[in-house]
Amino acid sequence: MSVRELLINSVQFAPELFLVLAAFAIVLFDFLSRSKQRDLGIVSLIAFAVAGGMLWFISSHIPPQSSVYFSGMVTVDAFSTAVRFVICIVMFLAVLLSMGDRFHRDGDTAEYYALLLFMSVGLSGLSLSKNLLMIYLSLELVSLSSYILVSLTKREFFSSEASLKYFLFGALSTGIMLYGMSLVYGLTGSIDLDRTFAAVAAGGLNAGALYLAVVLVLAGLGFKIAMVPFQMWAPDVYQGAPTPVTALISVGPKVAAFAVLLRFFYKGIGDFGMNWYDLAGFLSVATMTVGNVIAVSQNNVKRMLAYSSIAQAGYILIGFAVPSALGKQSVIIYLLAYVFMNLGAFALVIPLIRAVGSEEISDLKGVAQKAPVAALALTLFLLSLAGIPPMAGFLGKFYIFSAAVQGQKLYLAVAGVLNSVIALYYYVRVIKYMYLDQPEKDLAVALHPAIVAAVIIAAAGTLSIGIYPEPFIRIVAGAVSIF
Amino acid sequence: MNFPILSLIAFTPIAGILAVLAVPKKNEKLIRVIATAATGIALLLGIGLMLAYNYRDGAMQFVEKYTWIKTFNISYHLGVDGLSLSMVFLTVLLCFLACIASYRIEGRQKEYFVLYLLLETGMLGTFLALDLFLFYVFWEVVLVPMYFLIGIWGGPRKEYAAIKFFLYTLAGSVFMLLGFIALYFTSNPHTFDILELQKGSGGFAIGFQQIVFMALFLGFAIKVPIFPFHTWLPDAHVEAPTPISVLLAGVLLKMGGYGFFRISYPILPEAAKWFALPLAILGVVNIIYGAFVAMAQIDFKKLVAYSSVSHMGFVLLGLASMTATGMNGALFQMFNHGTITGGMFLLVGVLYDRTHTRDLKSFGGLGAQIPVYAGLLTVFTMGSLGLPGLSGFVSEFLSLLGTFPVFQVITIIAVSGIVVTAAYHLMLLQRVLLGPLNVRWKDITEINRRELVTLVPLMAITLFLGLYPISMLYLQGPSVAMLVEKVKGLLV
Repeated sequence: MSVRELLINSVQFAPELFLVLAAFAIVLFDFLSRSKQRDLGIVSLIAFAVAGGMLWFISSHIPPQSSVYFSGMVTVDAFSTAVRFVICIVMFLAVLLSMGDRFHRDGDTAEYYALLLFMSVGLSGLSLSKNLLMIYLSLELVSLSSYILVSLTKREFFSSEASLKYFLFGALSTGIMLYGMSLVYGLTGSIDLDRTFAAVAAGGLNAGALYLAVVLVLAGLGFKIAMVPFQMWAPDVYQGAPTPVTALISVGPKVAAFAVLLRFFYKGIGDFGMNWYDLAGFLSVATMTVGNVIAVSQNNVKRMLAYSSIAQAGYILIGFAVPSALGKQSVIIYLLAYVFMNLGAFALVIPLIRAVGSEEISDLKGVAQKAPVAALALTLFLLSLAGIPPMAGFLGKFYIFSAAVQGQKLYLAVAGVLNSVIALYYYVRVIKYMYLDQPEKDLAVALHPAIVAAVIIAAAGTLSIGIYPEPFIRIVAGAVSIF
Repeated sequence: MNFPILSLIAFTPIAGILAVLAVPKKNEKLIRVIATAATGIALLLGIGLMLAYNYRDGAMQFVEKYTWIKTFNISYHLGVDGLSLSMVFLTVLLCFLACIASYRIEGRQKEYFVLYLLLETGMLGTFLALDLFLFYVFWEVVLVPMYFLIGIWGGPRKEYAAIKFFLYTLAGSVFMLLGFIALYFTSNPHTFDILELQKGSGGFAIGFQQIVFMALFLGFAIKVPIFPFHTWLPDAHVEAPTPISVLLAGVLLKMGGYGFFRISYPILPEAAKWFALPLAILGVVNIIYGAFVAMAQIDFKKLVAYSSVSHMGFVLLGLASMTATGMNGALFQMFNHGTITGGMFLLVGVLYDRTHTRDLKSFGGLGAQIPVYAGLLTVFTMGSLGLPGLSGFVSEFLSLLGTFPVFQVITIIAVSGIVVTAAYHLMLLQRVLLGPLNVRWKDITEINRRELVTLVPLMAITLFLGLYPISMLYLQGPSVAMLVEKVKGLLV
């Protein structure tokens, strides 16, 4: 590959390159001047805004020269562009949440934001990858960044426990996935997704071995989305990690992992006669049920949101388990809704647990009378997570259930709606404490401007997707049309 | 496109919400004035709608239709016909009267009226929507404010009652949503439009109709409520503050019944026929079971709550008959139950505000102490009992009359329920108004002017429709006739 070719190729990846440069710049900046660390949040915020702008400009003005780049390692298509854009939104909100929390000791600030930037590059890489090796590399970049992010408040006991658990489970699941990938390579003779797809379609492969490979890869990615039975790490990690990091790892890796799931299974493997859809459907039911049932008995708000996010992943898996255009659309629509509503909920949990000095849900008594706006906003996000119209979460559920009904998977639809009813209980429990109970003590909820900004963005997303979804539906339909 | 009066009615309360939000929460008087004005304007618009409505035509009128979500062929589609007009009027009327009855709500008035107005929009939207997706959105919008209204301002067990109401109704409505989605994917071309689906209803296979009918049934049955899905009702009605009980009984229960009229029957006529007998049996169970349980109550409010279960049984019975007479009776009964039971709940509230108890055993002899109240209570109780000359009699009679040719034995059993109904209503009057006076209430004050304002219009309507019921049949008759024509009852 000539240098010129390399440069032309690179234009499409300018946002990621820019983010890498920004990460290095932050570290260097920190190294050179120890006094100005406070602005690093804003620097990363600008970096993500610029990257998002570049992505938008490139995708609308510079058509890709070819569908694959860098010797077929990555691909630029409507799907990857849409997912990259969502990741930019996630990271932007995550930086706002971090600025509003300021949990980190001053010395770690530069590393923290640099890691966020590196992680975002890994997440983008996952959505771009068209090659098993590239998937693995991107996943490792995401994983390593997130292991460190979780353990950044290393003096706290729960944080250390969380990071160790996260690391051990993560390493194991990555290994399992790698083994699955090696089986795919062994069977098809390629690590390029187009070629593996062609080899599977041509037939003649050992279906049992291929099924095993599929299951192993599903396990590895299942870890990232906290799919049952690989969900055990989530509650401890969510509880132990600094809240903005919890918010980020509950959303970012999920978006990217679902993108890889769709690409690997529908573009890399396809249908090979052994029904992996029902396996995915079964795992989906198990995931949402386990998440919801355990969430009911949680008293710690972060743990509750952890189990809630397990359950949400279960709903999204319905869309993955239905092999139709609507199924794939529903995955992305739901993820988009989930990004806004879940980050919105975390954005309010940060100042609220700080104000009441505890993470117990029952300590949120009477918050609605002390901080009416914060309580109202959190209620909005929780009701959206519960799937109440006219919020985004309802549109996501509507899509998921539509996909299940259209695909004649009635058991998935029924399991989904029954789970929605269970879920309502624990979301409303938070609302109950905030609104129905009287405040026991005086509390002042201080809303950092960054938190306010994050809440406004998340609320705007949650409401606009719910009330006028047509533009979002079109973009998502275009993105998913590559399958 | 003509004047969008339906949108205006449905969203006037939202305008009220915005105005209330702009007022500081300490200025409770202004908040009350704004809320009353908003519900009052909605009422005036509702009266205007009644005047502008063409009573000869049973088809949809004042239709508004705009594309909303093109991908799914979903539109913002509103319209009103004889099936929904009386429900819309009932909603705006009860919302206005209950708003006046809400002045005594204690604490957090700003939140109260915001939620109250949101509730009104949700209820009106449900009755006006002609698109299943839109219908579902409004249906769910009702749940959220209702949860808070019961949960914050309710009685001692408010939290339990509120979440029970929320979970029960959601459990029903999510299955209803699945039913809607199934209708969408089975119709050709795919649509959520209720009118389109009615046109194409002949194309649905009977097995499919049965499954969807049952899914919708879960949603509607919990709302009505139909035995054995009624257990949320006594809790919610008893714990809710008076004005909210009025709306729960007066309007929310009608959403379930209305769902049968608007969606289940015209879109799934074959399944409706298939389910007619079970529905008639459930109706009788509602009538008799509700009446017996009401008789056993010593809590005034619980008694009225169970009487609702009993009264809604007549709606089911009329529906199950699938005759013009029976269906007219059922729809009429929904309206009458709204006015009469709404009035009953207001009367319970009047007494509770003065005595702080609802224990029927502790009353007695109040007839001589507070004669005006006694008079009102007697009128509403007689209406609820089904005394000829008052509106409740007409609708129950029509319902039974329409059902008799179809389900004779069931109708005969249902009639026996009226005896029980009479018994507990008379016992109620006896316990409250007659007998020796409990000395605790010797200084009880007479019903005041504000309370009279909330009750007299309901009494006037009860009397008017009892003496001149044909007026309501003019209103709903043509649309009911069209519906019966469409479903072609069991006798044909």
